[in-house]
Amino acid sequence: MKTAQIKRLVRKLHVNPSARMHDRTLCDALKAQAESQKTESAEMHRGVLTTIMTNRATRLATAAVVIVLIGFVIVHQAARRQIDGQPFTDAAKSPGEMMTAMSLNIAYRKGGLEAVEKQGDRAFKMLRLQPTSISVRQLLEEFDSGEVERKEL
Amino acid sequence: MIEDRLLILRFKRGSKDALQRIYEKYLGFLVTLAAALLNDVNTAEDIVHDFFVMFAQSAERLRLDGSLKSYLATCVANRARDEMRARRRQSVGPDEALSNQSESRGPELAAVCGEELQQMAEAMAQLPYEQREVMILHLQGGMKFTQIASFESVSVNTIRSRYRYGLNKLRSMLNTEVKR
Repeated sequence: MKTAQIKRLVRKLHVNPSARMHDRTLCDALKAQAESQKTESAEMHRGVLTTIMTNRATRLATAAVVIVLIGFVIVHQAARRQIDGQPFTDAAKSPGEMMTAMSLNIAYRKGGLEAVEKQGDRAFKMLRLQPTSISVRQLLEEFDSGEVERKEL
Repeated sequence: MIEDRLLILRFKRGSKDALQRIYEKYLGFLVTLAAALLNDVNTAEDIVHDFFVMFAQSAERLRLDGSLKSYLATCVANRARDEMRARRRQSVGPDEALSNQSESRGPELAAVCGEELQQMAEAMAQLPYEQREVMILHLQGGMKFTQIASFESVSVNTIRSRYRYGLNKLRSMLNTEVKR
């Protein structure tokens, strides 16, 4: 027998595994894979918690990070609601709030001078003051003309 | 090769399909390899079963640079060698520890092969384990001599010699059979 033929025969050797072995092995392997995934994720989770809780510095640092995150989220949400979410009239509830620089600024950005004027009227009505004889625009115009006169002088 | 790389990537991410695909692709090859090394189909099946269970558990720790087939072949060959050593310790006296014959406990490889291959399987069973291992890993597993040498921690020349001696022995055994 020639060498090439021997090599060919060795390569041709083949054993078909029994069906019972095939199913049992596959089933066991899949089960082992699922169990090992569970164990590894639990170990990793426990590892992170243990690292945080065993050291005082990491515990404090984690608490600080959580507090900062919560504060950031609250501030961010409030700012978004004030700017985007609601109409400018709802941005401030009480007359005092309505006349703050922040609420007037928001009203101006939302609706220009008219919005500032409306907000002012609303605030005055709530305070039972009636500055209806003169509007904010007129006031501003007067202010502007006063400036002009001052400059002319 | 690319398919194997993808399979390994998916397997490492915990894919069951990837494990199943690897299993179906290489089961026959690994059982044949183990059966040829041990000359015992039942033990070969047990070894492959244990190996696959271990392999499934080690997905995240797996670091594979070379070919998947070679890796699987090396792992199964390691287990087969351990099994051979255990058998020698258990059932063979110290004087016979280096005996060339393998002891089979289940159906022999020749019994499950076709008639054409029976002679070959019987002749393979007569070879010393080291020579048989090199021949099987090289011809069946497609491993290079350098890979086998690093796996067995011996020089490449030793592996080449084992292969050559094994081949010569097989040839003389088979030619004697034909003459009869």
